[in-house]
Amino acid sequence: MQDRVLVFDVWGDYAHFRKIYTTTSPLTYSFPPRTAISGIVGAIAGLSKDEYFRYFFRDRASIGCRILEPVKKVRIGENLIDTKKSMQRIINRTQIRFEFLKDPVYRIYFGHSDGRLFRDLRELLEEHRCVYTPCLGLSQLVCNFKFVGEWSMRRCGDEFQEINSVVPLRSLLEPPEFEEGREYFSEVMPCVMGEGREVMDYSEILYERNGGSIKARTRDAWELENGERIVFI
Amino acid sequence: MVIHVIEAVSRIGEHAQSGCADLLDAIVENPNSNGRYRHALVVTLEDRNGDFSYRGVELEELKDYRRYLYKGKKGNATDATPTCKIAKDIETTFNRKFLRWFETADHSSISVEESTTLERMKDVIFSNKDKILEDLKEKRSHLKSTENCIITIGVLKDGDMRYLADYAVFRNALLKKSCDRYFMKYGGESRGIDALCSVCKEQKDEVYAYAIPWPFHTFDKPGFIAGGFRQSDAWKNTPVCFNCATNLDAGKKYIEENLDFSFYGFRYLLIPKLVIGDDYKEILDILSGMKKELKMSGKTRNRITDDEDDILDVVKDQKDFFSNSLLFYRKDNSAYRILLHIDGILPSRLRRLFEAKERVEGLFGIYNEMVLSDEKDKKIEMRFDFGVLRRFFPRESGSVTHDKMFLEIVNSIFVGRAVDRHLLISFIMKRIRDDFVHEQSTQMNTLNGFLLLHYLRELNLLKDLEVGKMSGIILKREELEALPLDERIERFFEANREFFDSDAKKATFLEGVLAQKLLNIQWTEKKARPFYTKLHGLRLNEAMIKRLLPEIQNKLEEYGKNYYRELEEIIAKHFVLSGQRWKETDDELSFYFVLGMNLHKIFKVDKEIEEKEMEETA
Repeated sequence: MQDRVLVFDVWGDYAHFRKIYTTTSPLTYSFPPRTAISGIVGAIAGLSKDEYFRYFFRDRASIGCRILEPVKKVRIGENLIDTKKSMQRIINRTQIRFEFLKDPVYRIYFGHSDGRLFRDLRELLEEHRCVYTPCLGLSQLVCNFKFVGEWSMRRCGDEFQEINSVVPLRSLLEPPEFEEGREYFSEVMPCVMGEGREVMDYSEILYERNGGSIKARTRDAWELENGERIVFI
Repeated sequence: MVIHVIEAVSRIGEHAQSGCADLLDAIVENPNSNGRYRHALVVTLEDRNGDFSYRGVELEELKDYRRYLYKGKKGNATDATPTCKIAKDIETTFNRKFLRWFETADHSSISVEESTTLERMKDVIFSNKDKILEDLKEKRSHLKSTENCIITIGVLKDGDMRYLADYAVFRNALLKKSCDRYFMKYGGESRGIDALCSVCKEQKDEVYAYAIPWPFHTFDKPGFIAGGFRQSDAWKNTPVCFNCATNLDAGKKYIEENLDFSFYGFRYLLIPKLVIGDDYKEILDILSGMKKELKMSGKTRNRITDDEDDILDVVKDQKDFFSNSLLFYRKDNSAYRILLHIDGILPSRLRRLFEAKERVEGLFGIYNEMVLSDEKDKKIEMRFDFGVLRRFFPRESGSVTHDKMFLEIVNSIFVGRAVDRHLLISFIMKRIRDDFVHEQSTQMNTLNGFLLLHYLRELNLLKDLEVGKMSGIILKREELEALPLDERIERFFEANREFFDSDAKKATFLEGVLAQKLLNIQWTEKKARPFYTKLHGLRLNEAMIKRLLPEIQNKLEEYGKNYYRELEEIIAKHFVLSGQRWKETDDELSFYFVLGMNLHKIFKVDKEIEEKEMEETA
């Protein structure tokens, strides 16, 4: 495990991370799954579409996510092209109601064992440059990003503490302390994809809907230089 | 921890199947599920040491349906086993379903022994097919033409009758047919070998692409297949193992039979999800048990929806050991559209919704008594349910509909998100103006609008109305009537202080009261209400409202019936205090004005004079 992470914020007007079991009435996860974050990093760093998955296996990449603005979901009808008869020609359109996240802002924590990729990504983030256009789930939902810093981190103990990021359930040592007025939810989402794009790991991840912290005992919490505590997903 | 919807459905299915002896029990369908197929025509063969011969057709009553291994397919496709329902005429069914099953039977994945058995049966049946058809027709003629039946096979061996369920070859055929549909579709197949199942998260020998049972998950267009648009890769999107696939089927069936409810022109599924523990038995027993009990008892229920069988009031009484997903959907032909998915509703949240309903209905007791019910002993009670909201966001004719906005507000109420007060008031005013211009009573829409605002206020969902301003005062008729006018007005404003937080609102409201008094007098005098036109179809603004007061006063003087000088004084005082450039929107002012018009009975100046007027009006 590397002891430094790149921290950057991503945001956009809308986001859509489709839940796997919906196609014709697409629902969205509340925050980007690890696979989507891999895509955002891959786009900024310019990794090839065919091979970028191998850069994000758990033994190479550490990825964390924090929700910075309350999760708001809205439903909007979109005109889709009927791809049944042709993928090239528009023969028919069909209106489908999409569930979108409105005004999403996330903080991404990214560590990698490949020093060169890490340095290149830092340079790109700092200069606000990207190789491909990053988006929040769908290509038309282009996102902006801002480099926050490169911070060192150290392991926290396993006592109860406020965790700022979303927390995978399997890293919990006991049920978290649910605080009054906070809204806790969890979602099962794909985390790691193999090179053939088959999902190799699904994980259930706990989050607070308004972006608040979660008080929990975890086995893998890290404290960053600025005091934020995170768990990688 | 809360689990996701599909996993919850699978777990419900697992529970629903727990009474089944094996997997087959869950797959086999009851041909008599609708009560119309009560007989079976059994084509009987005799088995003598592996040699089959035709014995005739038996007509029997359909008792244990599992023995026939029926599983239907739509259209001209053969069923999963030779057992088939007679559709139109017996000959077509016999040829197209029964005989064709043997012709198209797949021998590739069955043992040599099973294949031999099947071939021998087929030979006997085909060599006697004319006789069998004749016998079938003959036996069918014993039944009334309205009685339907199925065709199946029975085998006599050593004096015992055996059915399809007793033969491994048919059991396997059924299993295989059930399994095939999980990965054979759209002219190809899509299954993964040695991969992770997305439902149980375990590594499985085979996982399938098309096992999510609802049509909101289809791969009929390549555009739906993430990661390359290849049909054969569809399994990578939603890999589901055989066990989970059958659980999902059973779970879907259970939910659609037991947890599907109507909601103001929509339908929704209630999917319970466990927060802790892993035993679905308790929660499902509670839900289905309570539903039956309530149906039997015929008890009047405290509902917030229009569904007689709604169980939200049952759910609200439970502890927070499970949460609920509400999936609002609409079926358009074969398409299944999710209109809204509300996740994570705990019983305690529902309790809050019901408590708010009770409190608000308590507050509205005064209006039931003084405004709605005092004419001719007519008793009308204001009750809150989502129909109150639907009244202002209806499905109108043709393509005009407020369905989306209605569901968005329902969502906000369930999850506790703020609703824009101005948006609500503008829709409320739209309905009231419709009534007004058609010269219909605005009373019900106005009071329902006020009820809706109260309900949302009670749940603290109205933006820019601060918490802690609730008065908690419940107005009582006797108490109010004993007060002089100025104190009565003050008491009313105090009881509703969260809605009357400015002098402009108070002045507008009281002016509405005064305007209605004038209209009543005009009606008494002339059987007409000429002042109606001065109200601009209830599209009022600050300038109009300020201008109206002297006009009303003038008219009242002209009629010589200005009993309301004290009220006018109070209005004038609030006008002075309100200053210039009111912050209220025009819709808001119009709403307060029409609310005053409809609550004028609370502010009778001199009981006797007014009552006399009312008598004449009636």
